[in-house]
Amino acid sequence: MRILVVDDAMFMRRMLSDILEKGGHTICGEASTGKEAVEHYQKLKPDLVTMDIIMPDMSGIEAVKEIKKLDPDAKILMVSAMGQQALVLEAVQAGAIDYVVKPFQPSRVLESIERLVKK
Amino acid sequence: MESYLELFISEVRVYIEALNKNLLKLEKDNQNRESILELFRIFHTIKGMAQAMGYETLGQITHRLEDLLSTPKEKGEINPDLIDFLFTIVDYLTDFVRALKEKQEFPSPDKILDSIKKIEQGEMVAIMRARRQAGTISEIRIKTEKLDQLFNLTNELMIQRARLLHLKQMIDNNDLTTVVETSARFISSLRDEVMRLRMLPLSTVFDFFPRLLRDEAKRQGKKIDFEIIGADIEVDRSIIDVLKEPLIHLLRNALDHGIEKEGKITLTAVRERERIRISVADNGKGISLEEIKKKALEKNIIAEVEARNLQNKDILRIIIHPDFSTRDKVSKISGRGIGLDVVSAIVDKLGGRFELNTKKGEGTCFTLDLPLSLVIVRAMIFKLNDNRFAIPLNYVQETFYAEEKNFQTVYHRELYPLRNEILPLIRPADYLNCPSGKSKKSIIVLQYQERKRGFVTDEIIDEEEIVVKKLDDLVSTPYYSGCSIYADGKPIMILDPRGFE
Repeated sequence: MRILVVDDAMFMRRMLSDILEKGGHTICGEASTGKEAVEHYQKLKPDLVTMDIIMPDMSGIEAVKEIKKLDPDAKILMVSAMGQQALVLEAVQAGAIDYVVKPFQPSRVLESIERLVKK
Repeated sequence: MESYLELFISEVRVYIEALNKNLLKLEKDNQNRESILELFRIFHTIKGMAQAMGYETLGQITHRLEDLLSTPKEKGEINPDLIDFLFTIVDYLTDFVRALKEKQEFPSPDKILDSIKKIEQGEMVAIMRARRQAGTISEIRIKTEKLDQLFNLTNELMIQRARLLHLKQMIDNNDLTTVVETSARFISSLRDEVMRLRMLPLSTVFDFFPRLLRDEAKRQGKKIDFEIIGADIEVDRSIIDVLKEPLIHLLRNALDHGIEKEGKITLTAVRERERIRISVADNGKGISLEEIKKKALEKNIIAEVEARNLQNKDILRIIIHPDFSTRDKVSKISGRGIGLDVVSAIVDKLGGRFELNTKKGEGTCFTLDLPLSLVIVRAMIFKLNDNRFAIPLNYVQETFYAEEKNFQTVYHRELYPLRNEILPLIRPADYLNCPSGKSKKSIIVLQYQERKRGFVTDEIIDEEEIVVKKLDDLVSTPYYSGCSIYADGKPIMILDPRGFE
């Protein structure tokens, strides 16, 4: 699958990208702000987006809303830190399909993605 | 995990800087909502990274800081004591990262955790100002503001020093001469020491690059060997702050356009007296004059006539043209692609020079030639009628006398034939309203932005080291880049040649 990875920390993007690549997916792009995520989504048309929540220049939740406006079928997996259930809920209401919690366990991330594919 | 360590360290370092910056802002204005949000966001990000790396204590600390910041975040106001405390967190983070880098034991979190607990319980602790009390103190931290104050005061002293030396020449008295000369020497030494306090090694910026390039190369499926030379050279903080972006761009440029599949990129810093030369070189295919010519014609940057005589030395002038670079809208590394035109503009603003050396089949080398400091410059002092002005020496190529009757005018533009070249002349006196009737002129040949111009002046007085003071917005015009105080105590304006185009 072609995946767009969104996180403001390069460190996190790298870690997540490595997990996804090992799982046989392709990273088609990376973004470090919500705004960039929306722009990249339009251009790259990825099969899936992994989205951080707290980022500068448009939060992950706003970005989910924007992307959903562009493409109602967009598949977005929220990636959140612990203790952000309320925000995750908000994101799911905005249209995100599933979420994983940092620090990630590679198997958990890949499982979520498998599930999304089947949906 | 080991492979992520380096990235963790370099990224946290960037966050440490950002924390410092925002805390300083909040110290001035504790209702700066944006900075409070930024602090919150940074602690949140560090938390995530720390947890991913398995640094549980750091994860815990940052998690609790997030909580501590939730009230300020809502109120849009932060308690000054909390700001003080957060400065100690920045110190802790700095120590933490250093310990990681040097593979040593982590700093003890006990005091921090203790303070957090007290703050959580509503107690405002007298913050660990006396931190590092144990043993002798060999290092102290100074806020950069204090350092700047010290620096400004020494600069004032430098001005007085110049005045003293000037007075000494007018009053012939042995005792006075001795006192003035000794004081002058001490003041210079003091200034040098203070300058040194502001110096940071280039590694502060350079350390960030290896991982960056490695990842980007991997992404593009290229193999590169990256070497850094001279990272221990120290330069003024004012320069460090602005170096990162242009260098990222040049390195990216080398990788994107220089290296095809496999190659070497070298980042070199060399100190040459009062200047520093930083170059980014690749051993790729070099820039082809033909391709540049073609593209420049397509984009109407040059005319047909010009294209015929184009030489290698003209390449730089063309590729820094704002219309030339087809800028990637998205840059994976920086998140914002900046073009060579921007690099050139930054270098210009710093009073530096941007150079290009390229040979087909052998590679390309971009060089930034910069002053070590932005505050003290060597300048040429000259007169227009009875008024004195200064121009930074880094623009000056040579000077010569010329009779006004030998000036030539072509299409309303004054020119002077200098050896094999035609030198366009500029009369700053016309712009600054101080014309004189004198017909014998001193011409200062200036080079900037790949152009050569002759400044027509009445008399060249001297070369001096001057302390640049910024101009108030009220008096600022494109003609001046700042002002200074001359040896006799009178103010002197510093010209910016680019303002006269």
